[in-house]
Amino acid sequence: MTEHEHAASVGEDVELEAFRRLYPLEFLEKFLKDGVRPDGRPLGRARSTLISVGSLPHAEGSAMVKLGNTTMLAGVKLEVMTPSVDFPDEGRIVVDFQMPAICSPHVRPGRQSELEPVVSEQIRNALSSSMMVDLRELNIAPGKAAWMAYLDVYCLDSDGSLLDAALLATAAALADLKLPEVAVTDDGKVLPASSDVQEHRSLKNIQSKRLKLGKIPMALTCAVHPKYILPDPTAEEEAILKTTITVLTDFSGQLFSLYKPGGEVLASTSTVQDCFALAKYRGKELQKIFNNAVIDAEADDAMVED
Amino acid sequence: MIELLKQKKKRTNGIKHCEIGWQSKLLSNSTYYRPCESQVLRLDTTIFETSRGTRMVHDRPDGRNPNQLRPLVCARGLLHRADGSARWSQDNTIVIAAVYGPKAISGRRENPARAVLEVIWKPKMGMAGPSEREAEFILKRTLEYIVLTAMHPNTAISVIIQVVSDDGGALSCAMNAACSALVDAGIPLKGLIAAVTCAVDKDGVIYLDPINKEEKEFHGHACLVFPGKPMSSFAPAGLALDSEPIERGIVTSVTKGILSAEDYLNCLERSRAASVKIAEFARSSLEKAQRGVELVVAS
Amino acid sequence: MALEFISPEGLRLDGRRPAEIRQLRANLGVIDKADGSATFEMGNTKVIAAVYGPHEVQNRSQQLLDQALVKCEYSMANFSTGDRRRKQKGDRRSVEISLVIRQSMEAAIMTHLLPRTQIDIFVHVLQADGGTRSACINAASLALADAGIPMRDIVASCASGYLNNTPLLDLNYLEDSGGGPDVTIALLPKLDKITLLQMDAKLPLEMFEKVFELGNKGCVAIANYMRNVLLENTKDLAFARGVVKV
Repeated sequence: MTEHEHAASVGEDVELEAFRRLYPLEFLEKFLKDGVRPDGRPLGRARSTLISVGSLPHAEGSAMVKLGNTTMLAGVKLEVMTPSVDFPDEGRIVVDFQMPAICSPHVRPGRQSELEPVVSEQIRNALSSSMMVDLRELNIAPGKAAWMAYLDVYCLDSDGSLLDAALLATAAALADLKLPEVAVTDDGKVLPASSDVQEHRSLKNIQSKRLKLGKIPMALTCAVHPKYILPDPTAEEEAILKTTITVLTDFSGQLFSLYKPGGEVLASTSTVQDCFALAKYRGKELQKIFNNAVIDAEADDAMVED
Repeated sequence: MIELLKQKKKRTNGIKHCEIGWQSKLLSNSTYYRPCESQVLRLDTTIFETSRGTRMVHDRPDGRNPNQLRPLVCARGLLHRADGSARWSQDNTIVIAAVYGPKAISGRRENPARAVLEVIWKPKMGMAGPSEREAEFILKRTLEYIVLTAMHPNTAISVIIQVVSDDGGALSCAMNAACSALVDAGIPLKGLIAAVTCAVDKDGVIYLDPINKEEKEFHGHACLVFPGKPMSSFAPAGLALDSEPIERGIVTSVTKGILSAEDYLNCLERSRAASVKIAEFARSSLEKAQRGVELVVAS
Repeated sequence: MALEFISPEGLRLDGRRPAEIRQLRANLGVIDKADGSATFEMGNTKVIAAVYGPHEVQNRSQQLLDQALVKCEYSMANFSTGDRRRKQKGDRRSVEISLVIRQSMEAAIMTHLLPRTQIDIFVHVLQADGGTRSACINAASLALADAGIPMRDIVASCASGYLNNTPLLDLNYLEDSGGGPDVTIALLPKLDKITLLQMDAKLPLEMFEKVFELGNKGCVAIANYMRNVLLENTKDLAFARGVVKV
């Protein structure tokens, strides 16, 4: 590249950047008219998705999810609790979604982001509606002890479609969760499996196990433009279009929730149905990625045990 | 509250004039919606047609049929310090909304292009938790649809929601209350909205406006918000939506529990029909209040 | 019975020799939205840092007319330690560490070149296994370099301690909680200046010098590693932009 050409391309870059900042909607529409998104993918496609499980040694289950640039890290820590009187054979899962200040220039330290409670609530709703985990699986000794699973999801890089990535990380971390081997005394005291058996004659060993998973929930956020529907929007697209619809389904495409918190564009019935169809397609795609990640991890486990 | 209302209240512009007690206040400024037989969308039957065939309908605890809304009451202008306020009740679910603004703000939140909306949700008791935060977010984004924020740049409009009692459907009740309060405050709006909650049982039967007990028992429930029908004879082409009339568009959809795609679309249809009734009620109550004002001004 | 921190063969609990640093690993530009970012790993301790700025000062009253305002926030993931930590923002420990990081970075940043601006440094601990303070400073330093903020020198930090009559470099969690002294040093290696020196527990003066010397050497080693990472990263960037042809 000669000096002159280089200078010309720099000038164009500046002009492009100025257009992008001054007329964001026009900028986006120019792309959409040609059937591409600003990041180069076709209109109806989600960004490349990466799941890796078991990355945190301190956590009993963990997963990292990358959805384009959006990065989520989820970890499960277990504690023993006394189950409630109403549900003596059930444990609990407490979900918390957090956006530390590192994730975006818009999050300010010390102040909770507006999206934190929204995403937390949606994950809780998705877990309880899909019945992904039967809480009875977390039982240790009925009425005396059960597992309390604290699931913390951290957003490390926020670039749109937070709920999609956070829910995927949640599901993968729960799939990775391994309940440790413990010993229980008659009065419901839970001890590590290696503790001295001599002291407690009435000791019952409970094997380590993975959770049996029911239907696995997933979310697909679509940014809505009066003419186009953009699945898996980036933060830039979300900010320009101001309207999103999030479809919550399981991998087979069975709907259980449709979330549209207001916004400037109305959704017609046909928009809703288009979103369903996109979610169904995405479900198939995600199922493959998810299964591969989880099976890989289990294979690794088996190798270690051998 | 009654004490508050008994206080003398006079607006300098003379548009609102009340120097009255609780009883007359209600009569003058509030409207009732008593769903009598004619207003019920479908007749009272115990056998119900759904897309999955004929199903038995559960008895509802308050004796309504699945298509019946609870009686609506809307009163406006009951807080004299707020720029606008409204009390919207659906039987035992009562919400008061107050609107302050547009008022000046400074600093980082100030937006030179539009007014900033802020919503504060006060639960009936206790501290606001994450679910209240979520409701604030949903309400804010919903109101952004109707408020013409570009009319008041560099200002803030705050909407405060106080739940007085919650017997199911507080979110939709709050949406309706907030919309009425914005009208009362004289904030320029694109139109009205009407919010409906409906619940679905395992068989796919839809129950409008469920009470708390029903929300818990049933499979899933949805809170849906639709724009009111535009009244102007001038209808620009931009108002139509995918060849559907604009009032069929969804502003907000929040669901809890499990709703299959089919259930959801049924809910949409049923709620749309109900939202028409609610929008009509909101508008008629508004017009009645308007006539009241005209009378006061005339006298 | 006191725990044996050093085996008769002279190896530590995790198999290291007394003057050995844990495995280091660093990555630059991990957060797309940030102006500069880095992860830094020291063994099982893993930290992620992001730098936003220099940008307009958010709180006008804090604006400095002759230099940049540096802000720092330290936080820890709930699952970073063995026991789950309750969410406690702004507890004393994190306020103190935020301050330590800010002060040691401020010493290196040429703040006088960026008057009336603000630089935000956010560090988040993903995994804690001793030496989080040092890892945070190293990560923050790399993130600042990634953001292209003018600095006098990079800041490299390392901890050292004294257990079983032996000076140890780069303590892990078990050694850290062994009750011995813990000396954290942050060094500007090229200028050969110390920006941070912290110690708890008591240590005889002649011993302190040995421990300090060891920590200093650790810092130099870490600084060399960081420099290599930065050079590699710059080469990659230059290659990606087509400035350098291979």
